[in-house]
Amino acid sequence: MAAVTFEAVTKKFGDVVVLDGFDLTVHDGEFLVLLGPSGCGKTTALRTVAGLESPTSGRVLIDAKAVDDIPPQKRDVAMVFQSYALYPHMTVAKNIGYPLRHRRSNDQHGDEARVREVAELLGLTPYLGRKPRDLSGGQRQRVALARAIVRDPKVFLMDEPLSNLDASLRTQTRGEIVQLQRNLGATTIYVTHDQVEAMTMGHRIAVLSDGRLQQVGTPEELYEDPINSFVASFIGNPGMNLLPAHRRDNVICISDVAAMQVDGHDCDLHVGVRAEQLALVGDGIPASCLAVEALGSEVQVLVELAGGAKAIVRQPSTSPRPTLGGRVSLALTTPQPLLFDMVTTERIRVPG
Amino acid sequence: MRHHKLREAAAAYALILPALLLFGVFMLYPFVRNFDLALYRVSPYPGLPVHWAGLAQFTSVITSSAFVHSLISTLLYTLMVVPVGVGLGLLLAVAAHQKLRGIGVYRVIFSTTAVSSVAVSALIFGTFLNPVNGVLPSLGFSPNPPILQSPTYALPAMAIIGIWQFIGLSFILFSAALQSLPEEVLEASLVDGATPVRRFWGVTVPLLSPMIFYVVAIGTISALYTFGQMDLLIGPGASSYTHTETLSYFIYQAVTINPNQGVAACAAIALFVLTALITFAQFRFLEKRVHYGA
Repeated sequence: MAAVTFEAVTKKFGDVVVLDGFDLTVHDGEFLVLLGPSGCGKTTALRTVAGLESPTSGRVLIDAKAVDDIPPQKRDVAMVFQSYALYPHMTVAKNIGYPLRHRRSNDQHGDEARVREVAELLGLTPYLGRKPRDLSGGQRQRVALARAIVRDPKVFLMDEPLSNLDASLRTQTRGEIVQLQRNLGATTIYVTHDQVEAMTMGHRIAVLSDGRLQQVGTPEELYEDPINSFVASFIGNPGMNLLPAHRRDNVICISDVAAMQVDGHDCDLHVGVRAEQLALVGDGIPASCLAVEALGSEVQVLVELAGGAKAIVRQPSTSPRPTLGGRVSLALTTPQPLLFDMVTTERIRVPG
Repeated sequence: MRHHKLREAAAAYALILPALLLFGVFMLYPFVRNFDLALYRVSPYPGLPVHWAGLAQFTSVITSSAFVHSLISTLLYTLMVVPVGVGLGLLLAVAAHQKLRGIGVYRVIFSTTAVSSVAVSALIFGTFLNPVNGVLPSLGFSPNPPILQSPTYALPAMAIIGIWQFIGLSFILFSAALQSLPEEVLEASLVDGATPVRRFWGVTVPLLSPMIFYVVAIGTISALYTFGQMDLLIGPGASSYTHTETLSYFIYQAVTINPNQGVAACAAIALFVLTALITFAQFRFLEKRVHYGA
């Protein structure tokens, strides 16, 4: 196993900057999730580790050794592709054993035993003689995983490996991959656009947007302490509400209703509150009710503030439900919501 | 209801009638008539009586030394053209598939031979090989007998022209197939540790196998029917004639030079059966090794 370091990695395709000065260290044995919307550069970052893309500038280090001049086949990394990329003309056993065939040592018995062992681990033993086309999506996904773990690579790379599975299988496999990673202790870089996957799987999450690293941290850190409004609104389900506000004479007003007092210079800003930190009350920030979603024990209410900003309010299903299109009033139930600069999107830290 | 259905059927027949007529007049009738013709000895001059020859004519044609020579020449020619044409076409397609600057120019160059007619390529090679004022003698290479007259080298020379022409088509087909290969599967094999050479044999070739089979099948059929080079470059007067005459040319000369349409018909049937047998054998033995995708 090994650590992976990105040093100011920039990747351009023509004039398009896909990855912009990306700095990150993935520790030995860590499960790191690269999270971001599509087109943010996360897959490109992964492919620079595999050697399938070379950085325009900057470098990638595996085990503190620069790998820029090392071709993919010599990097000793394993990759699970979004499409699984199984070899259609080979049986499951041949697919799993394929990476072993290219090693120096030629221990055929050892290789076969290893394939059986990995197949057993992933419940693929009954399918060893089948071709990929005779397998279900979930089974193919397991074969791709088996092919990745069969030779104990230095690093595992996974590119949205669950995106082609249906919802229930995805949840199940998510748990299995986490279990597998913890048992193998393998350094893993996992790319996804699904923040639920990121929150439930990663030791740490690196959030990317427009080719730039926004924030790295544990799931809790990103959720509790986002560094800017992008991370705040991207992490969590739903993401953090960003209510447009302005500060005059140390008073923050949302829709011209004074909401709280925070010392600082006059400016426009966003007040960040989670859905459960908002409540519908008799008297507060005026809004109208756009939709009501019952989730069982809770109800999510989508509201629109004056000026068009939208917010989601989560309340117990026992609370009275507003009528669609009706007037409602919002109140903040947290004394210290997060503040973000409206122009730079950066977090405004409140002293004390 | 019934009336309506009848009208619909009538309209359908009316629509396929032109195609059916063309097929019937130019394909089906000559095909069937050919079998009939093979049973008669036909006089070279129109209007003279034809004589019943029966199956004996067929036996005597396919056992004649001229026919056997042309059969051997055709098979040798096919054995030279198809493997080399398929191999070189694939090699060029793989080379042109690399993401290099200006590779488009090479793609165009490699595919041009597919659109040049056999007459043009025969003319080019004829000029090249011409023993008096050709390019080869001007380079100081003038074998005696000249290449196209040589019983040893005339057939390989024809095959080179055939290969040159076939490469264009095989290049285009392999290029198209390469572009539709699943990119991630090829990348997976690199990450899995395969060198580019092992990846080519272990992954690319199996993934291309449906196209390889197709190119081999159509290449074989077209090689079995080769006529143009023989007609334009060698012809009946050449000393290499018996070593180069293809089956198509045998049929042609049985109609024009030494006319007996019955003999031509017998040879045509033999060529038809030969093509059918070889194609059938390819499907039977080669197709087993073809991997159709998931």
